[in-house]
Amino acid sequence: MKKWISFVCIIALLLGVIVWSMTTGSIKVGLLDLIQGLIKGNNEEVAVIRDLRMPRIIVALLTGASLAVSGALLQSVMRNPLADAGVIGISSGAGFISVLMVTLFPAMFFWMPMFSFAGGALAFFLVYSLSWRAGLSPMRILLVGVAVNATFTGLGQSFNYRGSYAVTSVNQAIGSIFTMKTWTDVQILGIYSVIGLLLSLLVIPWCNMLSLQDKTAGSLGLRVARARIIISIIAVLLASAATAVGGLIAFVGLLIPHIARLLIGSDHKALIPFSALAGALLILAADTIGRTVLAPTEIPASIIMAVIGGPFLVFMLRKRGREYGA
Amino acid sequence: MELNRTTFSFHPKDSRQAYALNDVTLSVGKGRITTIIGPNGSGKSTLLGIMARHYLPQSGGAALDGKAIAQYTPRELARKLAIVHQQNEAPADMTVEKLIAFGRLPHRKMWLPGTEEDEAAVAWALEQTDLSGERTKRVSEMSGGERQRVWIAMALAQRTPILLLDEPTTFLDMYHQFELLELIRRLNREHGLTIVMVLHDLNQAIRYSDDLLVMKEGKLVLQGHPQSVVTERSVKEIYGIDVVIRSDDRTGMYMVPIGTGVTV
Repeated sequence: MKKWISFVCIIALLLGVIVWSMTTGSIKVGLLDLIQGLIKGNNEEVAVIRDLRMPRIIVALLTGASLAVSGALLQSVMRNPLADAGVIGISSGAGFISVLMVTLFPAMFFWMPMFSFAGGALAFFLVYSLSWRAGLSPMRILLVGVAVNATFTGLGQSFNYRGSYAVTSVNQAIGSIFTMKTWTDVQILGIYSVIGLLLSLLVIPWCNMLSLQDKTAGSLGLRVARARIIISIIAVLLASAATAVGGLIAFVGLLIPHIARLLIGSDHKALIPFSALAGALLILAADTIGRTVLAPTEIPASIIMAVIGGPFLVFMLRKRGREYGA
Repeated sequence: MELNRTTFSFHPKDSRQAYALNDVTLSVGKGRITTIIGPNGSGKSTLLGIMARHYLPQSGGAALDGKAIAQYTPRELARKLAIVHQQNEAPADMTVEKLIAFGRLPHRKMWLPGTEEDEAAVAWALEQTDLSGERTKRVSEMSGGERQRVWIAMALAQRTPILLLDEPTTFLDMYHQFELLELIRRLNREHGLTIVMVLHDLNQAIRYSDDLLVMKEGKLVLQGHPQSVVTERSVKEIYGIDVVIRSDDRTGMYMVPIGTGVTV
């Protein structure tokens, strides 16, 4: 019953923010004009919105949904509430490899998500294998993850100081400003993250089984190691696609699943769809605030998000955390 | 279930390490309560873990219904044998009903809704463990004794002929220990479940078991009826403690420890 309300609220909020984001900014139009213009195609302002603002909105939505779901999956696989693509180095690995490849082969821009995925997978493999010692200890994963993250972040940032022609594309890969997103970006990100999001729905029963313990999941007939690997691949895919197009945004994968758990509980059947919606909402809201509040200066979505998200999580934990032992 | 010359080590490459299980051959009687006893570190839980296929032995192995358990798929095995672990974890908002329904997963297609059979099995498990009134309660808010019954109910919902329990009474007070042992006996007597469990308390093992398996230093040193296995001499040899064993009309055979034999 309570879950229903949470879902209705988040969908309503999401629609509200989408409309707000479409109609506000340097060009302002009314909702009716916007809809008419989109259908008839005779309004120049609306055409600009369609070409520049809409792809940006969709990229923000998909990035947020992908990162949040990726976080929820990683937390279930690693049995660690602090697991997040940003924290354990998947995003920075993805960012670094794509920066590297784009610098070396600028023509292969369309393949960015693949390079990004390779980088994310590499980082994840490093974290997983380096922290494996007759089983996974949540603490070791985190420590190794932080180390891997630091390494890749450093490597990625070192490109910033080369001052070469690559700088623009580099900034795009490791910053997180959604400006200049085109329908091509939507296409690239869309394919990968829609596939990833659909796959994440398929592994929901496994995530729920892993939330017991490995030995319990095993005695219920789950092939634990295989389930782990498959869920991890989906998480890496989502996080790397998001990083490839949306840039590095830490903290969403950490923040959203926790807020979702507090609102709708730990059953992944609700948790994963809710995380996707809430992640999309958060990033779009952050991006829209970022481009309107100090216009024409733009504040990156990641900054706005951290500033809103951090206090909100603390607020939720203070209020409801005791029930969930968080 | 049978084990044939089974040897297992946690560190197979390190020959200095003692075997956790050394050349164990045994057979567990169908429809009986078999209890594994022995001192700490003797390999009791390892033995149970081999039976549940948590560990794969370096040589030998367990067989069930004439087929090596290594040959079963995980789901097949989960329909034959359920295990209740000593320590369990579940998300804090997990309800009794939802947790028990996990026991149906080995029987279900992942994406289809549960059948009537699934519901009946959950209802049966709730009834056996006397939890029918607590369906919607959160497991994290229950007492230790109740919680242990919930995990047993989850295993029961698997409707397996064999139930393994790893030290099911360890963290419970005396009342809940006996409540649990009586539940286990009832499941065995009324529903014919084959029970294999690890117990620490020798008196409880004597009272509630049909057969005992006595482990020491990775070896199976004695097996048989409690009356024939537990003697003042065997307890001294295995646990290194002096005991008096008596029998009483009301309690049956019982054991009272005297001391380690070391003068203070």
